Amino acid sequence: MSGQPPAQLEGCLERWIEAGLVSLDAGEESEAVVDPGAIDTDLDIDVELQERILSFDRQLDRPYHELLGVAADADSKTIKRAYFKLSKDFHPDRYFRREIGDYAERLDRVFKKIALAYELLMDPTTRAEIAKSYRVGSSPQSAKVATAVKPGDAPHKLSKREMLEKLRRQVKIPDEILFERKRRARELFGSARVLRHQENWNEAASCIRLAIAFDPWTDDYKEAFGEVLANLAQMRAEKLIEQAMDTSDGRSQKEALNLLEEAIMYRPSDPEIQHRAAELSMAGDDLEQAREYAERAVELEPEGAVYHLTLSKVLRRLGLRQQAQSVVQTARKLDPSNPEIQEELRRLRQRPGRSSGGMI
Amino acid sequence: MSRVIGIDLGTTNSCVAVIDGGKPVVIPNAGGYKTSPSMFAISQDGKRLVGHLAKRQAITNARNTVSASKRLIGRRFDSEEVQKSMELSPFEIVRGPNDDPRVIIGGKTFTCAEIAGIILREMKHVAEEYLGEPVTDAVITVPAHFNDTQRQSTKDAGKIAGLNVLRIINEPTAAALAYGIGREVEEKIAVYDLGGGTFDISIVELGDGVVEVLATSGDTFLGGEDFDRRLVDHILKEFEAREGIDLRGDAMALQRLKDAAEKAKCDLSSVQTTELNLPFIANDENGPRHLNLEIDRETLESLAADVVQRTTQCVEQCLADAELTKDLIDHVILVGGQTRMPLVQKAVADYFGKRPHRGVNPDEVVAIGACIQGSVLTSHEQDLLLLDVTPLSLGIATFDGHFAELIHRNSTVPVMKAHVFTTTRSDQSAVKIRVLQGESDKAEDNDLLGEFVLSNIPPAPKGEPEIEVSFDIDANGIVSVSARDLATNGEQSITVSARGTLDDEEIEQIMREHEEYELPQEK
Repeated sequence: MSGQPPAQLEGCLERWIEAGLVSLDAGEESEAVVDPGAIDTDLDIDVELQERILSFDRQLDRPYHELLGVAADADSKTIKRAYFKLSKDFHPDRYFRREIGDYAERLDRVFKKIALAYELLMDPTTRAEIAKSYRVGSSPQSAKVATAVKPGDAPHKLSKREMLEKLRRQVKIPDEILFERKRRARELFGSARVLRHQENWNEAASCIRLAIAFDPWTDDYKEAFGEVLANLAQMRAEKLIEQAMDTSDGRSQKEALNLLEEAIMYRPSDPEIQHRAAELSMAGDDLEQAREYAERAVELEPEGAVYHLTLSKVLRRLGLRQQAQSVVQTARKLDPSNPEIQEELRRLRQRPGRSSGGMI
Repeated sequence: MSRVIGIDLGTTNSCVAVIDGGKPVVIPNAGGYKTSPSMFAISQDGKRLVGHLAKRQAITNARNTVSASKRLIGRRFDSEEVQKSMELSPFEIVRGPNDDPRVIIGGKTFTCAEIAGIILREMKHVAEEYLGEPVTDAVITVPAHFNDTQRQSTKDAGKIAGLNVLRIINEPTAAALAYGIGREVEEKIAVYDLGGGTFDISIVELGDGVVEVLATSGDTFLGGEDFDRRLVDHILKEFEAREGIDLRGDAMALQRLKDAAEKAKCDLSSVQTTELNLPFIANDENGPRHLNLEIDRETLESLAADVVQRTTQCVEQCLADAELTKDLIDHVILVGGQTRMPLVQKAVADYFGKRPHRGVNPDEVVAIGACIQGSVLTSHEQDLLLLDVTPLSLGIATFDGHFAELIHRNSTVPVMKAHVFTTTRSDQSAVKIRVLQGESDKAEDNDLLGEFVLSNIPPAPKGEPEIEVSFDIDANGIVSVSARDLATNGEQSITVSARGTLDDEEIEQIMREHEEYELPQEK
């Protein structure tokens, strides 16, 4: 920043716009042409006001402060006064039961937009975002100053990301584009939320990645991204487990276990991951490791019948039949109708060494 | 053009006002009172009685006299409030076919909208008699926290009364309008409205002839009746301790006690002690018993302290919603009869650190505001504009049972907001849009206003289709919701009409029935 007062920067910006250096939209910004055919002298609304409504209606995409007719750095009192004044012209209640034809629709549109502008400018958060988009890089001087900085002046070398952020700040983003980007980001994030609920982590991750690209200013998105990545690791692990179970391929089994370890790191208190790791270790005949995972799963979710069942299986295979029996009893209490648990119980009741099949 | 009346349809009393000779005037009824009890009764000989006539015979005919029906209107039968009312009301409340509460008096079942309609019709008559001309247009007020169903039921009531309801506005907003008319200064005011049945608080900003509601909050379970209830309970306990007789089972004694307690409460606003005299309140083998009890202001205040405390919690919430602190409030206006109580006035003064404004009559200010809004809308003589807000958040239910909010509470109407949603299953061909109103994150805890289905979504992987849902509230408070598939531009929409109330046919039917009773008024 060059240290200029915001009002002066604003002036610069306005000159830029006038000179066509910054494009806001299609170059229709100054005098909106009113279609004389739309004026209807039979209506219960005077012609001058009709012209104002038409002109407003055509320029609804102007920056919010222009809509309200105030400077970009106007204080909240000024904004409020402007809003109240415009409300008295454009609020639909002012034309209650009057014959105003098509103007009813136009007024509705215009008032809603004015109210939105007021809402956004009065909210300190959105206001700050709008102000930021004006303040940074809006003056040619400030851009020059920024680029003229010698590498030696900087206390440390900027990372690529920092440079990107800085560059982004140098570029003036017209606020309607900013809002469009934010809106787009919000939408993407909304879709990501739904995808997350569906556990479609892959697509959720790409949605959030896109959202962050559109709107790098919102920290919530970054936080959510980390969470989704954790889930993605778990999901990849699941896929590898499937592969490992199908092919009894030792290598993918090991890889899957590594991924599960990673997922455990992200979510240490999720019993399901521990349980999967236990099953996987058991399949790989690493029974001590399996016992550790299974015990952890049971500890995290004492009501999980299946976790108890797995622990029992591990203990049985370790030759700890008594302990296994007491664990599977708990499992049966938690889920009396589970046939797998009943089978495990039957197995434990049989003497070791006897074949479990073959009974007629 | 005929004039617009403003009606404050209160829980305990109702009031009607009109602009007459350029000034708002509260219209007295035939008995000379400026407010009428919101009561309806069917007498022993089958006559329908409203207002003071109903109240006068309430004691002797408790089972056939309905009071405080505003507490029931637009609610579900199973709601806490209806169940609570059933415990305390001497008249019978039953479950209606739409799960709505209905009352039985004189052997006939009435919907709550019908009873409100009968009271509104009485107010209409009061105005017509005073003006000497027929009246059809009206603005009716409701508590700020009434949801859409309650508002719609009140509108239905207006229709039943033969009124054309121009607008339903919030009671505290109306009070602010009445206060704001003719004031040129910019200021922020708090409207503290403690009525018979509900508590409302609104923060309003005035300036340049515009009245903007910044935030509104309240408690529909809090009001003067809670004070009465505490006092009745206290008296019942005292009487039981002295005489060993529990009066709770005796509807007639209870009604007498309620009336006496209410009167004692009002008296204690101006005197320090009052006496309760109810001869022959009970009978047992030892002969008749009389209730004779002295109550002082301190006792009442200790009984009601926590109720008053609860109001300040609402005020805090409302200030937070308006993003203001209490020192930024320029004036506090008191509305509702219960604010006459010294304890309430003191609590408000202590909280805001300034004495409440005394220029308005708490019983009349709401009706005055309502008729001002009527005149603002129709005559354009007043250079005043009310920027009202929607009191409850609106949104839709997501597939996992959450509430996705589109329009936040306290948004100025008219307003339009849109948001893009997507599908949860691959090749999902239709989505159900459930429109909800309320403040809970959980969909099921909010009120369902309506639902519709957007179909013919082309097959696509889940999460891919973009469905834009937009909410629109027009200046009349009518909510419409539409869903559009951005790929095909296929669109479905509904205008939300509240459920649980009456359909048009039922209203017509009730109106026909009431015409039979539209005989010349007794003089």
